[in-house]
Amino acid sequence: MPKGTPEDPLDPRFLIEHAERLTTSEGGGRPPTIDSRRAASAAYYVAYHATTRGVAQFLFDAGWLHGVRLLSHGAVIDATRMVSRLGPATAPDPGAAPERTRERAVWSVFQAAGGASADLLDVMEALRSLKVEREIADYDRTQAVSRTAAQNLLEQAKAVLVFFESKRVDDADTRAFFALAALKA
Amino acid sequence: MKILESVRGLVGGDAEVDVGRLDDSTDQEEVLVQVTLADPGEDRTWDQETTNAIRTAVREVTAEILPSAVATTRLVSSNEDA
Repeated sequence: MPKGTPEDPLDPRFLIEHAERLTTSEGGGRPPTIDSRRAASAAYYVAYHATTRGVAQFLFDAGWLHGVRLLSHGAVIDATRMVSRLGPATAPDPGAAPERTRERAVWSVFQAAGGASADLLDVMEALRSLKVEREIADYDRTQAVSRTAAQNLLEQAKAVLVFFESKRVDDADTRAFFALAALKA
Repeated sequence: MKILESVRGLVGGDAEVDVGRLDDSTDQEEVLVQVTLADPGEDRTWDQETTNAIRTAVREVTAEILPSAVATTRLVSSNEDA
């Protein structure tokens, strides 16, 4: 972190440490199911906060800690859907019909960028998948959430964090995603 | 069936696939693809390479058979004991 940059109390690394404590058994026994559920929920927030931090730093630079509050789960997830559907280089042209104007605009932005790269597409899907799992972990009493499952989700979340802390945030396809998340907010 | 064949080609014949719509589906067509497979055992989890390979395969097949849909894949262990 650059000198003078305020510390982020919701730094995804803090959430990872927290989740890892929940998924690490002590004394050889499995942790209670509730630990796995809380870890699965935290995994989504690792990914969400890593993503919104990337978006907010792109938009607001030094003021990102305030600007990040303007973003929402719905905006981020909607943006991931747009990237997944219209971003791949192989995505079909939505066509020129008036009702397709916005879709074609998104498609064209990504075509100009050479298409959304595979690693960005993986991150988009990981975000949606982690959100689904978070909702199961937090609300669905009928489905089990095992420690192994929580660990898998945490690994997915770490991959999202690595992506948004890499130089990939400067690439055209990632910036197009940032812009879409902002426009949806 | 195509998704199942593709996933089994990657991770073996024991994998199962269920496809459904997401509950919070929006104006965009979105399908949830649940892939059930054995975990590596000994409290280990699938590596990201495996996870992403499955996602890529599901994406490619979905784009082929449902080009207007967005696929989200969730991996479930067949030997989970919670």
